[in-house]
Amino acid sequence: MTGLEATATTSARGDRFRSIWRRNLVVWLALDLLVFATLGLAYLPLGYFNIAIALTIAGVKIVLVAIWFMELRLAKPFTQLASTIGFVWLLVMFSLTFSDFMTR
Amino acid sequence: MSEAAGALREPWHSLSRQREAAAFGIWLFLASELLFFGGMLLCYAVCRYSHPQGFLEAARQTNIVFGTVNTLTLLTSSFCMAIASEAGKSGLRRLAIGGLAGTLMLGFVFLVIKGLEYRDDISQHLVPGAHFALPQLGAQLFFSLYWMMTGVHALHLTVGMIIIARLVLVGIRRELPLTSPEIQVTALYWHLVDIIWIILYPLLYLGGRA
Repeated sequence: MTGLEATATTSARGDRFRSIWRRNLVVWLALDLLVFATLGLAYLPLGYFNIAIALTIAGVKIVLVAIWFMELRLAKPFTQLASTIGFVWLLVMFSLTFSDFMTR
Repeated sequence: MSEAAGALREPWHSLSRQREAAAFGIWLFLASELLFFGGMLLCYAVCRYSHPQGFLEAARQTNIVFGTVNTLTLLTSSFCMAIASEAGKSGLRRLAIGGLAGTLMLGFVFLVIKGLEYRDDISQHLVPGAHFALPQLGAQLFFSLYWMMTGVHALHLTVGMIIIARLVLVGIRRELPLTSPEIQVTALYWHLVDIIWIILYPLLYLGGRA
């Protein structure tokens, strides 16, 4: 390897190093902000909206973790499909149970 | 032997196919994990629907400081894990091992804080049974679910920590090919444990605060 190539490789590694830090740091900061937002909103008297807002923020956090930290944005379509299966069955389970409970 | 050759296993012909298969397989496992916790979440939803006041009264008694600090701890551990996973794929050994070690350390911090919280809960008679502190109907149900869900979550976290500790060890000894899907698959498991906590946090800590 020539000196020039070695320098190029080192700088490519440096670029990767920086891009890994930068990208994940932004996601982490967004997640932290959402934690403080959901904490603050929990103390406002909003009735039933309290739990609705808290769960919506939790949903946004989950999407951020799944897309960025779990790299679903880079996954193959069949893996992306597999990642939704658990949520789909969860939805079925909740829908069937509450269609009974809420209509008694 | 090159890094890639060391990571490749039967029956795959290429590392990219092996990585795709590993990700697909672990996501199916994570779906089963989600449904495992889903049973408890459904139980929580039904009980809360039946005893809304008791659940809010009980949720007010959980320790919001410990709960919030632990949420931030776990999110930060996921951040370290995401860095380790990406660094591994890029062949950045020190960053990958550092990320894994950071994740492990934060997992440990989480468990210590959880232990302190459990001690507080026990001293305040928040364990369902004869000497339970709250009179409201449904409050005992809430705390049964609280102990069950946080306990099972902590167990999952501990399993994750054991797997990560092994990766750190073989990583330091240079026995782990960095490009192996092992790091990535472990990361996906760890992130799911984090996702479960993201769901538990509003259910167990944020209710009844207003």
